[in-house]
Amino acid sequence: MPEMQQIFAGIAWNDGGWIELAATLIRAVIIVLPVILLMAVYTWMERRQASFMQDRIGPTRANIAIAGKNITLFGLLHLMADGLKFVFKEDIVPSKANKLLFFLAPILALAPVVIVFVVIPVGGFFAYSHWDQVLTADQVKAYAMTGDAFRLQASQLEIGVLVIFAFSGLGVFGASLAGYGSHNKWALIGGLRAAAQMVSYEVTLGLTVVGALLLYGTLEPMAIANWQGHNIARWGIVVQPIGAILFLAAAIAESKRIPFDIPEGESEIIGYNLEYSGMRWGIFFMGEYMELVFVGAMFATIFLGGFHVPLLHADGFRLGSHHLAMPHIAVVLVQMLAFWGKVVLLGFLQIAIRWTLPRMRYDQLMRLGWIGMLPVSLANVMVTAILLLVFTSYNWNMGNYWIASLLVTLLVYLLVVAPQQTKTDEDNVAHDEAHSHGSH
Amino acid sequence: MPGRTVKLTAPDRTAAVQSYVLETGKGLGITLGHFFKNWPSRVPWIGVGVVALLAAAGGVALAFGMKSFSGRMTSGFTGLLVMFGGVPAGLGLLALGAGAYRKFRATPAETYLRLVPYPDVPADYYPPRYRGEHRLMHREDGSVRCVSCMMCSTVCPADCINIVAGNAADPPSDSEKVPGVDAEKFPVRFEIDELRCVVCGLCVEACPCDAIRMDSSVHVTAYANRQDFVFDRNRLMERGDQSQAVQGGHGPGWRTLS
Repeated sequence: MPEMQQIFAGIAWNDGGWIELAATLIRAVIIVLPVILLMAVYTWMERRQASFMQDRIGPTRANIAIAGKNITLFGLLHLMADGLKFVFKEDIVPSKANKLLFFLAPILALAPVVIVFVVIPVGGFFAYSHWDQVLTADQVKAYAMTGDAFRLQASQLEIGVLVIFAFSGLGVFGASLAGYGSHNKWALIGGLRAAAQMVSYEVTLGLTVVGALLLYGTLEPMAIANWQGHNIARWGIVVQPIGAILFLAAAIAESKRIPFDIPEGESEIIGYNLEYSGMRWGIFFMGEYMELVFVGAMFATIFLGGFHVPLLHADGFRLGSHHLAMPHIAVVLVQMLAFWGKVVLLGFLQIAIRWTLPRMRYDQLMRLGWIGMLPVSLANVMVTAILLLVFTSYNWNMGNYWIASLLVTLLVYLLVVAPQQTKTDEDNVAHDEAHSHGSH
Repeated sequence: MPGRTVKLTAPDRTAAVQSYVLETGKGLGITLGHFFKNWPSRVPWIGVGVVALLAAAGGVALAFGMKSFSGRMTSGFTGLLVMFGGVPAGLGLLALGAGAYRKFRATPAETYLRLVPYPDVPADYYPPRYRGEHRLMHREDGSVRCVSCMMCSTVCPADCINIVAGNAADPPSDSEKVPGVDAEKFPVRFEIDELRCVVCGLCVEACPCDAIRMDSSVHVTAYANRQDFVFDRNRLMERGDQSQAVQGGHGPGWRTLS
């Protein structure tokens, strides 16, 4: 990574290095602080949203009494109560546990999820010396080339998406080592399940993105976001609908949440984190909720246009001949807000899915992964490749690709799904009658 | 049963069902339907609106501050005002409108929430078979009905009942002695650890004398000390009452029989 060499060389030789280091720190704060905040807010959102979905009102107990009134802040104080509880709770280590693995597992579960945010762009380039001017996209690009703009992405790597997969793949070590090191059979079963599940769905997760990456022609997340841009017809969810749905499903499986939570399996094996208590357990769940943020950020970047807002160009909103000019700083702020807004919306969706579906059985999970989602994602890659070949060889406008992709989705539905739906209840009833006749 | 048709409620295993996507969508429709019917009733819309309007005012001030700070902002100030002031103000007015609509509409807004603010306000109704705190029933002379047979402490799965049996005091004179009756035991100590109790009610089922009951309709109270959760005999009898049950097959006045 030449950039890292630059940074450290700069520290040694001149003041420019310090500026670069400060910029890196600012980037880290801009990107990681919202992630940590969102993680904490998600724990509240999970309870609150789940309770409204189940006709309850959720957390009401944690409160601060001010002038005889109990202030509960909609249950937000439970965050503080949880944190205090985790920190002061007794930390029990099983006497026969492998101390090293037991100690390493929570770190291995949390760290990779934080690292992947390095390559996620929360905004474009911020040309700070021209913050009050109306800049066009070309001008911003020019300032970015001359180094006169601040990149709202911690690290711009050409292999960005691969970095994400590499590090999120490490997450499996956290779960399986926790199960292995706990010296507990249930935890071991949980760890093994986690390993099997995450390895299976990693394949689908990677393959579902391949279709989208073929279109974008790049692995660099900011370039991916810029390819989609302000035109909603180019967003990943429109040009790759099947890929988007499969990606969301596989990503939820990767984050080990219901309906894919068999590694945890509260009602049967309690899970790989069975022997953990106090803050160690808390770190596992910090990891889980960060993964919620991470899945949202990934999905937003690859399939929802990243930080881009529909109709928002670099110089303001444009619709037809109407133009609402906006200074550069306003555009950048709106784009950053839009990115985190998308992440929160996807978090809402993931929590809603969690509190809607029951847990899958192990065999259902494996069947869905290997003979359901994997072939479909492979077919998606093939169809995308063929369509892309047609579009590029005839020089068709990629802005119209969405029509082709919607046609393909419709075709898949008509050829595969619809014929099955013509089957009625009658077959089943007849089948059942035959059985009841035979039984007496 | 010949010809009986069983109505199947399980969905057909078509590809549409097995692909999970459509069914997940249906399920989300139901649960999110509940969410969006319950959630608005718990949002302080007026407060949200006021906060948003304040934010809009701050945003307008920020926009003007930016303009004067830069000193060279020629175009785009309208866009700045719209983004920082207009959007929050619009959202705030929407929230105020929602709040006013919810407050002044003729019929109260529909929600699935049926709330009992339970631990803050005591429940106003306990079903007759609600298992509350234990109590020990009295005889007509006010003594405890328990005969220390150990049935309850034996059946207790949580092992939370501790009984120490003693002999009943001899009657004043031989002539008042009722053979086979006065040679009974009574509990010197009768303690229930309510922290260990799993509220299964088996002790009540096991009691042959209608001595122990859980029909006090009193929810187990939270105390600061663990010792306070161990209820002794006197405390259990405080909630007790005279039982109307027939003991010994003689009716309520059996003790005065001669």
